[in-house]
Amino acid sequence: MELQWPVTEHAPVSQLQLTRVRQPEAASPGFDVDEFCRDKGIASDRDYLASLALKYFPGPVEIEFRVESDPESDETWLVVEAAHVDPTMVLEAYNSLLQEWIENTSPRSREHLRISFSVV
Amino acid sequence: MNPRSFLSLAKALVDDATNSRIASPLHAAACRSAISRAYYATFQVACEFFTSIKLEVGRNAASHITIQHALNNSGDASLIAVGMKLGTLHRDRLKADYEPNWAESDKSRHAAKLILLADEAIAKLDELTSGVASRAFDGTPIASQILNWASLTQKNIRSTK
Repeated sequence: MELQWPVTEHAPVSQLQLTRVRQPEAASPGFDVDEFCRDKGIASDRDYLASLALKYFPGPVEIEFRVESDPESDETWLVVEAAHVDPTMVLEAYNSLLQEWIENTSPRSREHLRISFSVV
Repeated sequence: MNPRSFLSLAKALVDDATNSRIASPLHAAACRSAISRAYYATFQVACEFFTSIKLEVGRNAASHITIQHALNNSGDASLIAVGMKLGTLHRDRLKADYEPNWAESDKSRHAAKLILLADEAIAKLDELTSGVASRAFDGTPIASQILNWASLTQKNIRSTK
């Protein structure tokens, strides 16, 4: 499937969902998550990816944002980490998340964001 | 060596850890090694894919990221998904290799899920390059799109045509 851009606007993560997103300062010591997102222009897409994780991953999922660096190169990115994911159907959920994420985001935004999960 | 052997080794390590064929003190090391091998299997098969569409990615520390971003800028949804999976695997491989306190290393279940993720990504790349994909696959426009992106962003990718 060939993709077309520009992309559509997506709704921000809801207030209810935000209660399941941990404070970024606690998850990413030494890095300012909000500053990273402002600098890269990805705050909206960060929240969108978090909302997709809560939408698709089964279980009592909690979201953490972490700015991480590659110790082997100078690259830095933001990880949206879904914790406490029920291992049942996790890959199906991951693939559904990816499909919606890819359909609605630009390549530039995706370069700065990664999704990760940990199972219960 | 066939890079898919790395994935077979990863499966064997997790299987042995799960079934107590590896001593408990070595459990975390086995799971971490499995995560690392699963990533490298996928990375090497992705390199093979680039070779198959007549592209060469410069080999250095940045090539791991360059390949993910190149797939992300391929314009093909299935390849973008492979790039995202590679990103997830790469992130956990760095955790497994560099962070001794990373708690997920103790869970063979986590390693097993990542192995399945690697399996899916490799199967997709193999499907495209083997010509048995459910849709016709033409690597030429994809290579062209990636080269265009690489030129604009000054990435170390060149055509081998």
